[in-house]
Amino acid sequence: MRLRYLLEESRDGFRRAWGSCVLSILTVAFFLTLLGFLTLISANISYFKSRLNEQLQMQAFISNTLDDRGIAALADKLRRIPGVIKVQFISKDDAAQAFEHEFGKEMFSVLQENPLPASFTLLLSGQYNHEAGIEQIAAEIKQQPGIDEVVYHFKTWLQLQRYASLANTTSWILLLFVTVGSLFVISNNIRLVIAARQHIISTMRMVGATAAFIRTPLFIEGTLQGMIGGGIAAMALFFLFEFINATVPGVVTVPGHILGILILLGAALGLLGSALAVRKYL
Amino acid sequence: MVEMQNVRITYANGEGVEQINLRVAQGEFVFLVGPSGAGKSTLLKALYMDILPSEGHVRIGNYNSLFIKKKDIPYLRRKLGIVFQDFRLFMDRDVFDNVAFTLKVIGTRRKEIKRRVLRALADVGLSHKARKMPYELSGGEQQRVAIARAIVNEPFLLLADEPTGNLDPETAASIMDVLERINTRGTTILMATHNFEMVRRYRGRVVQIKNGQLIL
Ligand SMILES: Nc1ncnc2c1ncn2[C@@H]1O[C@H](COP(=O)(O)OP(=O)(O)O)[C@@H](O)[C@H]1O
Ligand SMILES: [Mg+2]
Repeated sequence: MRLRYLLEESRDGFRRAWGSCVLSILTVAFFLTLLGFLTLISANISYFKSRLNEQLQMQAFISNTLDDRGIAALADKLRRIPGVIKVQFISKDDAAQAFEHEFGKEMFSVLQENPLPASFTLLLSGQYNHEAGIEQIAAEIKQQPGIDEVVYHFKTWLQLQRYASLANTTSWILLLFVTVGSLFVISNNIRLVIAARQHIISTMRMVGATAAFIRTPLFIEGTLQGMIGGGIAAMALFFLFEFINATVPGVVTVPGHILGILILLGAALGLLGSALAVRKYL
Repeated sequence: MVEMQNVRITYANGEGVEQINLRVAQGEFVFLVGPSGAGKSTLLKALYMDILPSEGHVRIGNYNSLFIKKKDIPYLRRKLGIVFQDFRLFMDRDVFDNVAFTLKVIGTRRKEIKRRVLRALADVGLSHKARKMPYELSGGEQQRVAIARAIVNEPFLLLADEPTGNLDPETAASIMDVLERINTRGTTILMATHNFEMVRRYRGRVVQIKNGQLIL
């Protein structure tokens, strides 16, 4: 099959139904931009999250009633809780020192004794790096006799976690819509091209054109449409995120492979859309 | 070369053709004559295997309707030339490109295309109009372009479905001249027409069809 023929026929198809062709490219571009946006958001959140992971710490305050042996036994128990990597004891004096270091000596000049409780700083395994995991560990620590309170500064982190999984779920749902929607507009466009070329196609059949010869230009056309739609989406997202970066430096990154995947996804949708139309209308 | 044996084709509404037995030998000129609705077009469709018979078989050269696969039909068509009453030219390209279309579709080289198209246009007497658009031509000239497009690949069988149906008698006669000339050079022709008058004036075997059956 001649490349020249394929190019001519594909261009011809575009000429015969260019309005719907432009419309379907733009629709695919819009869908893929939306999808790409959410994917980039969730990719950025997980990137941000991975930077926070190293500081997965929890602080457990120890009751004043416990003596040194009790504390040592408690530390042993905490070490055995799954997910706890390291337990570091911070005595009342250590806490006072840290406090002085941060706020000065005023409080201790007023008070007779040290009001700060001793505590353990616990380092958690990355495996427990999700809401349920953290809460489970916190609960387990809290029910140990001798532990007054457990504090963890993961509120922001948990919030991020929630946004990330929301963006993730939404992207999957959106992927479904994008797939169905893109297939619909592209196959509809190819249907119009087929209708507009009915005369040529029936003559092709009369003079002995093979099915592949008749179909290939239509496949190329659909694939190109999807690919151009994906390309426009990739470009739009690239510039949007560049703009965000220029405004607030360093908040977002644009993983190049996501943009590449958008273009490939567009091409795949285009090919599939034209295959559907060919199957149904040719 | 062409053989139809006990062929039946029935459309959903019960119309069609049946008990068709027909043989056409190499080099013959056969008229298929019958009133409108008799089944002429249906019989031709069976020959270019647009419709496969539900009974009997059609054999053309090495192709048999009983055994042919869908993907082989294009290769059968490349050995046939088909002309219709309504010309079916492409209005968006000139005479040369209309004729060249057949060869492009089957992947002929460009140099070869040029040689053969000019040859076919000479055969139908339209060399001087190669760069005209179809709408600049008369009806008779347009049908000659369609014939050139049908013979450019040197088919052994030319099927013509009422090729003069849209033309006045004088123009029709010029088309008949072209067809006779092509036949003299060895191409077998099967031409369907409802015009009994015209058939009488030309050499060739006459096969009559009525109500979907051949009259012997
Ligand atoms: N696609 C079709 N569907 C249903 N009936 C058809 C179809 N084509 C032709 N017929 C019927 O079959 C009969 C033969 O038609 P046709 O072969 O076109 O006749 P002719 O070419 O001799 O005028 C007619 O009665 C016609 O109405
Ligand atoms: Mg007819």
